[in-house]
Amino acid sequence: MNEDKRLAAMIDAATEATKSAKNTADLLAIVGKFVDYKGKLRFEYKADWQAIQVFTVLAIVALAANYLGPWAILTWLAEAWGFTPSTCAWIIAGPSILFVTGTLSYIARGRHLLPELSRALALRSSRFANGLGEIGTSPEQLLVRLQQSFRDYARGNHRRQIQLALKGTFKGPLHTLTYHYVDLEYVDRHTQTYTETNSKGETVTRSRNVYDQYRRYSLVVDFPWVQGIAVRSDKQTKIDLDHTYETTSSAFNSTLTLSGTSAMACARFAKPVTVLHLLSMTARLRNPNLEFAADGAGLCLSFDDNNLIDFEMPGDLSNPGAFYKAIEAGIDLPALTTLLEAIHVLAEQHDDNFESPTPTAIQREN
Amino acid sequence: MDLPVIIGISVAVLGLLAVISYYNAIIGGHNRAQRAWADVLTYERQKSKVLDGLQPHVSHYQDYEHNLMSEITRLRSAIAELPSAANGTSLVAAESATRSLLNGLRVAVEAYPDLKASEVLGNFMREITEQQENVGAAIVIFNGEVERFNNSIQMLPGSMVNDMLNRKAPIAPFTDAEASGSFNYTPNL
Repeated sequence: MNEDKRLAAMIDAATEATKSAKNTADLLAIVGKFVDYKGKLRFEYKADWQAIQVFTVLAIVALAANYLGPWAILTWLAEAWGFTPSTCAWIIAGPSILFVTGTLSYIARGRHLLPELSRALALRSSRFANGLGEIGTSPEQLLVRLQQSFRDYARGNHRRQIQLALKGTFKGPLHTLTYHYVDLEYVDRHTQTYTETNSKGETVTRSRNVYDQYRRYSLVVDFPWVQGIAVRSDKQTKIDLDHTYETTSSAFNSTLTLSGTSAMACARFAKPVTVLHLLSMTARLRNPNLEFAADGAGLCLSFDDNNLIDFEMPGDLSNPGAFYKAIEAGIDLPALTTLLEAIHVLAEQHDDNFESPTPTAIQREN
Repeated sequence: MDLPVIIGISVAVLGLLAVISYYNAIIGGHNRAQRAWADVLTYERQKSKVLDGLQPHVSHYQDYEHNLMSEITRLRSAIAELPSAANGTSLVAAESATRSLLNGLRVAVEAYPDLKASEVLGNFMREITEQQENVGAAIVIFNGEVERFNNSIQMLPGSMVNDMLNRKAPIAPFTDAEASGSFNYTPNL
């Protein structure tokens, strides 16, 4: 087996192993194979490059023989095959060009195999390092459950669907927060009227359905300290509760709408530290909404930012030693961590200092 | 009716509406600053209630008792002297007394290992620190509202409306002389 085939086989095996990896140790075992690999960690494609050269020359010669001649060889082939010289030239050049194009795209694809595998490994590492895992239920069931507690999910009059849902745990200094990360796709349908001129030259008014597709991202956090409060910065007025409340901060009131099940609940929630904290969170996120479910289902923090679980690639498998260390240390999700820290601050502001630091969903579910 | 008369009446009505709007904005700004000040007072007094719970826990530690008790008394009287009308300058004494008390508490906690280990005292420390954070945040909000209000009565045309009708004086924001004293830099305000 030549070097390229050996490397390709190892990448294929590693790609499959990455899909079924259950923890960081599994990922390290995969990367370890690349660390121990004796050959070069890049494809050479020697035979492919030689074939490309041969077929490129063949195509050029065949076309030159036709357009600069026809040369004698082409005339001879035309007589032998019973076609015109031009057809004979294309019979040779056509497949040659196809072969060259196909081989070049094969090489280009091969060049991406190692970076793609590295990215898949880093993605899995980011999930393991941050305690993110698959949810236990189907996305449809999860959506139904979320819609019962949070009106922020009542988006899209045509269709709504969870594209990605992960569950995780964040260990803060005082509290352990269990959460779901939800990526919701929703589609709004509206009718648009327009005018056009028909074949008789008359202007007619017609209507058509227009579908606008959106994404909304959210963290649903187990948050037993506040209930029946909504803080809104976008146009999702459905989350507003019975009593709207103006805080003492004009900056807050001009950016956010605070409402609650009672004026007292709003007043208790709108502590000065919370008002300033929410203002700073709003500055960091695009169109954030906070919905503290009245039924105790927790906090739904939704926003338009799509980079919450993005990470920076710590190099790739072309430098397997450094990549091994990065996977061993775990890939950070800085945006997610920052946001969970901000939620933890909110928890500290609203917990009871005279009760032991606690409740996690896991503990309560058990 | 002649066109110049219609234009004149329209301008007069618009002018009157503008004056009413500025007048109301000044009143609204003053009320918001007053409400923000009320928040500061509320959290200062909330802090004073936490002291009631804290006092019995530190009273057993004789060496520090006298000092801490006098700090608590000083803070209580500073809070009691806070005026109901918005005035940031009057906060200086209460904030200084809070700082002294928290420093005194930390010294006492370090000196007595069993005091340090006390969960109840830890909770009280957390609570008083949280209340102090709320006071700090309330002051930030208050200063923001004071700035908005002062701008509304000092900038044209609000200043003209204020001079003629509202006659409100600018509110003093809270400034921490002790903190600013520790900087070498003084802005040329």
